[in-house]
Amino acid sequence: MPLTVSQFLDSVNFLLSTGTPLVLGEVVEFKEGSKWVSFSLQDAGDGSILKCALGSWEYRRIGVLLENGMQIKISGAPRITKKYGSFSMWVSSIEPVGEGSLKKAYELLKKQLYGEGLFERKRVLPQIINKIGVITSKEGVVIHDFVNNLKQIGIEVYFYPSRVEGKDAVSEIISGISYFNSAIPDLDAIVVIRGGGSLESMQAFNNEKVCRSISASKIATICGIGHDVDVPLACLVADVSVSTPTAAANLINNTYDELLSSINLLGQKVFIKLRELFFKVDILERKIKMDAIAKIDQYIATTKSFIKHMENFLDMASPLRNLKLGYAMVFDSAGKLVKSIDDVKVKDSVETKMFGGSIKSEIKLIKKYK
Amino acid sequence: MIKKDQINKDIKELENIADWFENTKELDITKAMLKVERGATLIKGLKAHLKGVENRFEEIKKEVTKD
Repeated sequence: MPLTVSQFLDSVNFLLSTGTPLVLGEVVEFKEGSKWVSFSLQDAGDGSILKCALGSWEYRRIGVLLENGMQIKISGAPRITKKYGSFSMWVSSIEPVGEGSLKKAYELLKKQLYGEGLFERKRVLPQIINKIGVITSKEGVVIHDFVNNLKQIGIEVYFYPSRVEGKDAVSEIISGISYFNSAIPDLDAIVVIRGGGSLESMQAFNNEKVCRSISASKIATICGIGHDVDVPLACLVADVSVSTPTAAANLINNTYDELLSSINLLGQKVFIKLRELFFKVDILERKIKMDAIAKIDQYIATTKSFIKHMENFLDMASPLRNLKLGYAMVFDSAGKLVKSIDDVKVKDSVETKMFGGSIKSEIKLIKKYK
Repeated sequence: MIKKDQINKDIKELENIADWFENTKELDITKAMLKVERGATLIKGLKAHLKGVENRFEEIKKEVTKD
């Protein structure tokens, strides 16, 4: 039984869909439309061509601008478009390869962001920086150096661990900026730091999405990223940029200079001690609040459980429970419970209580069980 | 604090009712009915008090954790 063309192409696409290949080549025939971006990847050896395509939104998400002649590494899904019978790679990641291509991608994005005015807006940092959010790797010495270089005057430091190199770096840096803006919006500044490195290792800081995220931050930003010749684009977008993480710590320290210089040495010591003390008191206050919350939570839970227990207990102990089960209680005219047949005689008036009400009656006959 | 005092007072009274049931050798049905009725009233009041305390506490908790 022959397959229809559509069935055959579906089978081929299914076979092609296993795995995510990485392909290296030179960008040729680059075209950027309003909805689609297309280019071909040319083999440096025999000139073989691989057609590539991706949506404009995906191209923006990846954040690497392309130009003919760039060497890049792509991954994605190879597929035959059934309508046209054409084979192409639907690209999901792009990475410039080699100094030349990295430099080209850097220059292209720099030109675009400059054109949009992203390097011009510089907010003035608070006069005294007291509360900061730091985004950097939890590995390595950078975070320790930074914290150690901060003056010990009780500056509040919140840390968002993020990779600063590799495929996850872009999304983690963006998540960090977003986290601080939503969770701790009263920060004085967000500090993005990493040590020096090659242009290749610095790709996350030359990524369009990272740059736009820094630009969109409502909290002022400080970038302290080590670099050689080309200043990372993230640094150009940030409100303030310095060349190393240590310099970023010093920049924050310096916001206290004017205040400290206005008082003498003894006064400075007192000021620093007071700041430390306030910081400790602040921590203690939070701990006390949290302990109190936990205790009240526990009190409410215990009281609820006691009430539930008492409800069950009274339900079991209640004479009403027996009435609900169909039993009845008989009271004599004095209102005393009749417990034995010997407690009543014929003609006596009695009241029988049962579930839902009572009956008043007169005894006509007494039968005793033997 | 008025609410918490009231809650503690009601809890104590409920405990006394439970003790009465546990320690009475010959159960007086009428008294038992009255105790059950009183217990049900106390439980109803306790639930309402506790709900109020809980709501207020949730508000305070939000304010405290926001700081």
